[in-house]
Amino acid sequence: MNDAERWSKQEVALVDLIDRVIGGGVVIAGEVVIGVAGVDLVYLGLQLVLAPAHEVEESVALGRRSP
Amino acid sequence: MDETLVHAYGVVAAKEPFGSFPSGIADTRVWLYPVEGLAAIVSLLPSDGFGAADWERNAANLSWLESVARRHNEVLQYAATSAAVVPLRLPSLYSDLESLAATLRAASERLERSLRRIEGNLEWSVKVYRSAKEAASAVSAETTSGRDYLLARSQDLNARSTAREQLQEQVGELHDTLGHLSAEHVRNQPQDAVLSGRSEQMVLNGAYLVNRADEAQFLKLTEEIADGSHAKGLIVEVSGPWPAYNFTDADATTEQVVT
Repeated sequence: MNDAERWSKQEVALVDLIDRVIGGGVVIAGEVVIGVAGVDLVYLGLQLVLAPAHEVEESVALGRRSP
Repeated sequence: MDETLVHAYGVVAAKEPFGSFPSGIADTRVWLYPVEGLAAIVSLLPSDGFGAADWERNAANLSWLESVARRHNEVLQYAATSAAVVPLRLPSLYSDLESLAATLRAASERLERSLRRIEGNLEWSVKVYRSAKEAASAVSAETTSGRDYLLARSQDLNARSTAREQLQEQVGELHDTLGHLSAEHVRNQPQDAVLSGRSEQMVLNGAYLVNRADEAQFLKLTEEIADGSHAKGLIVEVSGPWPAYNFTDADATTEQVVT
């Protein structure tokens, strides 16, 4: 099986895409600047998405009731 | 005609022959744009939908990010089947080809160094999880008196602390063993459980730059490790080959972590 065949069979998980495509690779100062912090904006966005879920997790771990 | 901007997926050496690329983001045509000794893999995207404002608006929109990231990765995977390719991190936008060319010229030394570094190699991912059963507390709910409970809890905490050290050691050894068969290896932050949807704790998120000639041996080793780790309550998962996302940037985009 060649690489192309192997890859077409591979179902790439969202978390792996985020990990590699947004967290990895080379930054060569794109001239179109995204927001103020460039790439960080996407990270910030992801944190916003994930934060509520983490708050629930933490309150469960600490045995707290949600307010 | 509608305004467009340039999306660059990755960079290859200009001499590399490619067949026709798969469709890019928004089903656009993907082609090679040569700049001196290098070539950027590019497609033209409508400014309305993929411009800076759209990135800002969609920075927290997982389904939008996913659709863009998936196509970006597919194009890079196609390129990586036949040549060394330096993946560019998202967002990777240029107002026009001239500005992309100027950026490539300015970064050419760094890009050429990256290409030499990954030539003949591909990236593999090995993730290790601790099965939920192993992580569960040993303190029995049946313990009756408060003193018994505190004693049991203290013993349990000690045992857990020792177990945690042993686990760290085991995982560190495993990472090093795989590293011996790799040109380079790096240990990344464990992935976010919310994104992965996994209940098991991730104890290793390793990336390995492996020469194609050593691939079979590397995969055999991962199988042996997976078999040997099962009894210890560890789940080993391998994915790849990937374009060399973790081994092309001189800046430390990832850090060594101790969990």
